[in-house]
Amino acid sequence: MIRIALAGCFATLLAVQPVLAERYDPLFTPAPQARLAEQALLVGMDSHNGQLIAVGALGTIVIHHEASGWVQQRVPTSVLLTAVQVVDEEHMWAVGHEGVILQSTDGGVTWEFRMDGHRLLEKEYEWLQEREIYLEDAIADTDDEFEREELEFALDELGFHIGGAEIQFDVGPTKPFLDVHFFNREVGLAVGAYGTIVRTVDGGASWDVINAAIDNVVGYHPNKLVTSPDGTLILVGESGLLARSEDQGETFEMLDSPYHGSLFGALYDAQGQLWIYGLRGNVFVSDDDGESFLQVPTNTRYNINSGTVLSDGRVVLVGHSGVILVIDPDTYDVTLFSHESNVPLSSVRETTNNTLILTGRAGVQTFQLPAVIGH
Amino acid sequence: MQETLKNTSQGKASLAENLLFKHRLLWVLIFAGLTAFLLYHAAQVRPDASFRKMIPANHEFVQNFFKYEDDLAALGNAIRVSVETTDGTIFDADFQELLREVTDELSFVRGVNRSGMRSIWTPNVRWSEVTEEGFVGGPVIPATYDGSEESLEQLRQNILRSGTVGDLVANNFRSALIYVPLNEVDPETGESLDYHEFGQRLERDIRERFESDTINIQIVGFAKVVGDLIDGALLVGGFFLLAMLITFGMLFLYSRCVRSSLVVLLCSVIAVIWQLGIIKLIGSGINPYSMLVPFLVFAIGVSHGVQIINAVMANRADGLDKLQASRLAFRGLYAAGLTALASDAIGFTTLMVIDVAVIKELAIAASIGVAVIVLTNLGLLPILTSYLDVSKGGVRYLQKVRQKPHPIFALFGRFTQPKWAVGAVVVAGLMTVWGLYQAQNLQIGDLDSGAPELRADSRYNLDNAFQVENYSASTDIFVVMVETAPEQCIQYNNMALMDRFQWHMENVPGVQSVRSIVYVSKLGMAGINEGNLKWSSVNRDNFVINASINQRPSGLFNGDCSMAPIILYLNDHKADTLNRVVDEVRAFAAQYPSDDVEFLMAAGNAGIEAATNKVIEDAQMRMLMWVYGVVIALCLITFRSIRTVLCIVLPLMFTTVTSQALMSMLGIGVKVATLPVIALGVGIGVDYGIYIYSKVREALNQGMDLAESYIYALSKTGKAVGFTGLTLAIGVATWMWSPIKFQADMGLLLTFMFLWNMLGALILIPALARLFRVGPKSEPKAIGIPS
Repeated sequence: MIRIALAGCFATLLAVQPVLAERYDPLFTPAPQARLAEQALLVGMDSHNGQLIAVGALGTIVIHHEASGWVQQRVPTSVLLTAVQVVDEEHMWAVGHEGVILQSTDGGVTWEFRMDGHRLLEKEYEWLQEREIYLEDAIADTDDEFEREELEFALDELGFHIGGAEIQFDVGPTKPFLDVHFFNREVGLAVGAYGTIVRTVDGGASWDVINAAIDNVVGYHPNKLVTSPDGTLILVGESGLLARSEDQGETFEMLDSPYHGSLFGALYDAQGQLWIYGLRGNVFVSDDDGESFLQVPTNTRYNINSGTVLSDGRVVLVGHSGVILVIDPDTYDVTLFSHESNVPLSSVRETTNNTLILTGRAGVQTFQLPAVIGH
Repeated sequence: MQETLKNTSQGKASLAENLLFKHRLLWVLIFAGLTAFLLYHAAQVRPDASFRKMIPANHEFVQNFFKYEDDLAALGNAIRVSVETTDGTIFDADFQELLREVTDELSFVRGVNRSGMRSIWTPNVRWSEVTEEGFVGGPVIPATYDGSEESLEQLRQNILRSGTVGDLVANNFRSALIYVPLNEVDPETGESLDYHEFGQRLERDIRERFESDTINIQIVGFAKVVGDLIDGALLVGGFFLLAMLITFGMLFLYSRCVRSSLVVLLCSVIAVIWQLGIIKLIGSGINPYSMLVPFLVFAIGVSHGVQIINAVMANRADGLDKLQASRLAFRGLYAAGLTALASDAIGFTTLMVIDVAVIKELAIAASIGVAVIVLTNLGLLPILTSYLDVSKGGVRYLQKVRQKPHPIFALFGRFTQPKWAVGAVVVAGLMTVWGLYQAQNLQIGDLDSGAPELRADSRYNLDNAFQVENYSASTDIFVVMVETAPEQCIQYNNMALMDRFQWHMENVPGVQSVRSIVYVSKLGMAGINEGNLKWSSVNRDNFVINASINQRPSGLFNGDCSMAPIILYLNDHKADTLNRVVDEVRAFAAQYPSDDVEFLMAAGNAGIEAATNKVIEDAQMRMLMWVYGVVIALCLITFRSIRTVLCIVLPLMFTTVTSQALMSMLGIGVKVATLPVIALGVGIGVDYGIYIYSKVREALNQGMDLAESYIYALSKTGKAVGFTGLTLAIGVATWMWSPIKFQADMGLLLTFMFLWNMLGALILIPALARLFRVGPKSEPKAIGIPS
């Protein structure tokens, strides 16, 4: 009784506390509408039927219309968005910091949460606990000494992750998603910091944590997802992380990486060659879906962040300090350009012939490639 | 003059006159002693360009700035020295050797904070790069540097990956910059930085020593501005000599008597010495604004002295001896002189409504100066003439010119005729309408880029333009101080709110770029993630935030982490830009109210200027109301007629409006330097009206009609009014050649106002009197019964 009475007293005390303004939380604060939205830090870009969409700092999403130029869209969060994918006319996905996954089903006009960092924390914690039980059972079941050591190492690492996740509940959602890829309206994946991989088969209504689908017990960042024309999925990431999936991301196979530094991106060219690239000007090409690679000398030491395939088949890669590489897909000859702004570039698309639209630290920029000689 | 002389000569000697003239020798000795004593103190007056005194210390922005002044010091007081080659690029062994020498030499200059210096030759400037193994890096100057082609190529590589292009190396690679932070107070001796000496050492040991046909050196920074200001202020001494010479010439032309010209000059100079000595004794100083005061005191002194001399000569021409002539001159003029000087002094004190220390000092100095003139030019001057007499040539000249009135009087006399009166008033009316239209474009604040204190084509502003063009930095800085609880300045929610604020401000037209601890943290986040832009965001984990700002520059938050400055680099410091910035800061704070974070304005030159503009804007109307209120009250007390007050005050208002139009046309803003000018112009300008109208009334009372009365007034005071207008104008006109922009602006505007007021009085007073039907019949009725 006394306890209830005391509780009542505290309740009354709490009730008469002056109302404090809520602390600013960018996760659930709508993105600021900005005059210079297309000059914000923009790190992700996609195009669909010639229409461009770019995402970046403070929840900025801008879509380029022929008539009105870049138009900022209404977005329910103010975190840094890192990647965007257009599935079809209506369906688009964007991911970003603090575990944010957003979906638009009306061509980018309105955006809704399909995941946020708080939910991601719970999901991952559940998964970690299940995983712990799974690993403990597996250790008990196995007779193979080598396999046992592997499993015990994985369990140790998992222990760190569980400890980390428990602290995260106090700190709040800190993990960014770094890329998103949907195969169709229903099936897709998002990958994020420290080895986070989530997958949905119902258009984002529910998500499964599948971090263990790749061999990544240390928790390297998966940085990029890309698919070949016939549906092969490639994942690249920190410290040469390289994996392939033939079943829309349900299971992965680890590939031998040609590079132990970080890979920031990958693309398939028109001939079906796989290009991967990353730190310090490292570029590799594979004509067998990543079984084997050839290093392409680039003559630059700047990071290569992103790329696209031009309408004439050439591959364009962009990177830090305004670096633009144009590569012949047959001869692997590299032509090096530098954007006059010298700022880090994070994505590139071709609009009309030889005109590049770039995003990066200085927002949207353009670059005119010289006319091709002897092509 | 004959009649008035009779009147005064029949009057009784006043107490003051007896006091003065019964102990003449004693007074001369007292004045001499006082003058010697005050000269000793006046000689110690040094121009002082203290930054604190030039800003409105009680404004909220400035109070906030003072609160965090020490914390912001690391951001603030520094100079930037750029070394430019006109022959090739900086990748040249000789150039690099020179750059190293300049860097070394600068480190020896007293006041320089050596450890904070940055140039490509200081070891703290490094390049770094992310590799597969982590960060690698080193000093920008290769350890093996020997001036060879290879090491220069290595240097070029290092510079490109050090991120110093646009910061320490010009975008076009034709100049390199040395960033030199200063210690306001010497940490070893505790002495404060002597800006004048510092500026001279830069000129002598850096500029003169290292500049050549192919090498230019540009020096920019607050300390250099102050040094240049003091240098410029010292030149003003030369202007004073020039003004004295011209005035002497005019005095001679007016009196044709060297002796009395010298006596007037002497008494006026004594007034200036007293004024300077007294402000030194009361602990006040002289600043680049109040430097105007000695010029005004001198000119006002001369104009009053001339009337005394004029009266003495007239009395001598009438046959009185030199003592009698001097006594009667004093008797006839001291009351009128006292009234005129009192009105000047009251006019000056209205400047006190402007809450800026330099202006208050100006008001005090001017009031003291005017009080001193009462003693020197009304008291001492007639005593001196009673000994020294005036020359016979001067007396003869006066007798000669008395015979025939000056032809110009006839011209001004026409304005009492209806046709001319209507014409003059219509023209003035049209000009007023035009002036009001022009004055709508009148801007508050400084309008030029660079250091507004100096001229646009001054060496400093050319240097500044060079650095703005070749380096990525603006010199117009507006600092918002973000205040939090101690240890909370880099807490996640606060940083996130600052991040949003920063983006809000980057979107404001006129804001070029924004820097803060948030900016550093976001760069650092990408940095610790291999340069990946996808990480360039404030992280929710405070351990991660700490790691991201590991390599922060100093000064981005204070010692107990309760304040973090957000630095806005602006396109310019025009009032529109500043108002917009201030409004947007307030709008953001209102939109995102927070119990944890307060956005305090403002520091930085643009922040302080925003405060100054606000104070000036508020004071502008108030000061005009006060000045005109005082002038109207004074005229009402003297003349007791509303029509008379209108006749005197309307021409003044005409001058005020046209001078505002002039300011607008010349691109001179209303600022600390120009606002006082309006009060000075009106306060002194009203004297003309009072002189002329009092004589007009005297004649009207004797039954003359308006035209006769005006001609009479002109014959009595016309010459004195013209002479006063010209001496005042000459006194301040020399300022137009000052290297200090605001002094030149003050000189130009005051010259215009003194001359325009004089013309306005001579033309518009008779014209308005005609239109208001002031005449012998109506005027007596008006006296004592305000209509």
